[in-house]
Amino acid sequence: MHAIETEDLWREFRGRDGRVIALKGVNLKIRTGELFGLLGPNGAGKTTLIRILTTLLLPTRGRAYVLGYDTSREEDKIRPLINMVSGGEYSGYGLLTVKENLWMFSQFYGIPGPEAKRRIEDLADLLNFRDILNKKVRTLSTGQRQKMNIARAFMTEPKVVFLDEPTLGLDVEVAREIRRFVRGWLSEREGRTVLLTTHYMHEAEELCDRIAIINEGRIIALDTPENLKRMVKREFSLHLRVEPEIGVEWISSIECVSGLTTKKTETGTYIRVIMDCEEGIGEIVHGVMRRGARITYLNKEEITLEDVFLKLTGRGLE
Amino acid sequence: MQALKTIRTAMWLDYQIMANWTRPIIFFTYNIAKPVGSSLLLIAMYYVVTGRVVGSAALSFLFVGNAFYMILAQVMMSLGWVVHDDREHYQTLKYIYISPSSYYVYLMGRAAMRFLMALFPAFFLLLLGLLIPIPYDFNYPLLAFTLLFGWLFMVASGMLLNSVNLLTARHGGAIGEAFAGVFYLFSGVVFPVSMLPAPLQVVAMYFPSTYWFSLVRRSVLGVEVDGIMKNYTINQCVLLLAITTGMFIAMSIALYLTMDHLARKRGTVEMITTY
Repeated sequence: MHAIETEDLWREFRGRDGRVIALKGVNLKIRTGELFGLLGPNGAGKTTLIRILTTLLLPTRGRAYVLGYDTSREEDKIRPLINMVSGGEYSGYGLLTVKENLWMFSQFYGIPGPEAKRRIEDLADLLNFRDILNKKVRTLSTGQRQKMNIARAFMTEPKVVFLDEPTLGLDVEVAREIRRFVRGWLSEREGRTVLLTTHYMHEAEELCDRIAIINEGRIIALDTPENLKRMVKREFSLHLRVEPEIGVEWISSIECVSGLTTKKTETGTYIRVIMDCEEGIGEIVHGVMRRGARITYLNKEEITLEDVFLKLTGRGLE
Repeated sequence: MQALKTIRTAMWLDYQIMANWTRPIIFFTYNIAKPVGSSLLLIAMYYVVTGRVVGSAALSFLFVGNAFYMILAQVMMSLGWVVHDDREHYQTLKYIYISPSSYYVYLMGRAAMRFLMALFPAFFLLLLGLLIPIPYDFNYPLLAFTLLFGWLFMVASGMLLNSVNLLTARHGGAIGEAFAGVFYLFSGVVFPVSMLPAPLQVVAMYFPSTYWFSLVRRSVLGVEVDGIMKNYTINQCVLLLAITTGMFIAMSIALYLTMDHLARKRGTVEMITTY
């Protein structure tokens, strides 16, 4: 039995603004004990998939199972076994203290009082927030609040944890602490599974056993981070900063170029190219100069997951 | 067992949300001031129209009805916001919703605390009535029974309201006021049911609040002056209150299950409208 399984999962939203198909036939099998990453840009369908798996949303078509239970029909069996954290939100009752907030949620999971107290204190130590246990939630920083929410989810000892962009908007140090905690939690327990959605490549690369890349509602690749990178092993990425801003569509027509993204900067354009022949570098440099621009930065880099994504979808993650 | 734990925790949370913004004494003063103010306004209006307040059976009817209507109004109006606030302001609804505790039971707990908190101003108003004076003739066992059933039918009504709110955006307060208004109109709060047009009298007989207010008057004043309601004995009133409350509870569970399914289908359980 898989911890999570979806079969031809579709989800469509209809509203005044029209129809949006968020998931288009998603098939996934996530093994028990895995830290599985779902990687994709905003609007790719990651959160919709998590909402279905956490019983918050019904699929339009297809089936989803968590620990063998159907998310559409057996939500009462799933809920005691799961928990979730979303990033980039300000959830929590501001007038309660951190300890009160956590205690309250422990009661909704039927955890006996003394046991709940012990778990709260253990998590406060592990996540390094013991000093804020008696602070009101409204006074917390974004990072402190997210640590509290991580504790809320892990306090219930779930079999499957859903982390929806858990480090979104956090500073580097807090994000690192959370990643370290998640990895440690999983390695110390058997039979637990974590599904992590993120659009931070390094996070997926650092944490996940396997990664599915999702774009426009479809899974377009699924493998270990290493194997995904091998998909583009002969290739490399070229990073350039040019001034002033110039049109760059011509780069795509160079024979050995397989991916191109650009970003406007204050004074020009940042260009990222996936290619598999070094001769192409000369063509690009020559082309830039012929258009009256100058190159202020040029670097050839190893392939990252972001490059894999760029090659697979033809666009960047952010 | 878990249901009781959930109710207790939800009641605790509700009290914290209502009262934790200030010191208890200020909170209780605030809690009492508003209903007392509106009751005094009602008495003033009665005085302007009739030219007297002392020794009036109609005023006693109105005063007691109004004091207990404050409970119903406060429960209905404030419950209208629970789903909306949890979902959009505190952003905790989805985390409570996916817990093993029933969300229905959680809302019952929230409603229970609103009911308890609303009892204080009602009893304070009754004390104030001694100054008028209102001729009280208490039947305490009947009053306790009536209050218990009041809690049940108000929880059921609150759940009807909250079930609808699982699908709506910011209409919670308006729906709550509308609910409270319907009870005000049909239940013989400040004017007897017998004054309603005949078709509306029939409608009123399906509301538990009609029997509740009648039992409230009988347990507080010892009499019922409404031409229609005095035809029912206390036992008949108790039976009809139990039956109509049961109907409301069944309706609220059915509506909750329907709305819960629709909310999951439409994706509104964690909707953030920022309205």
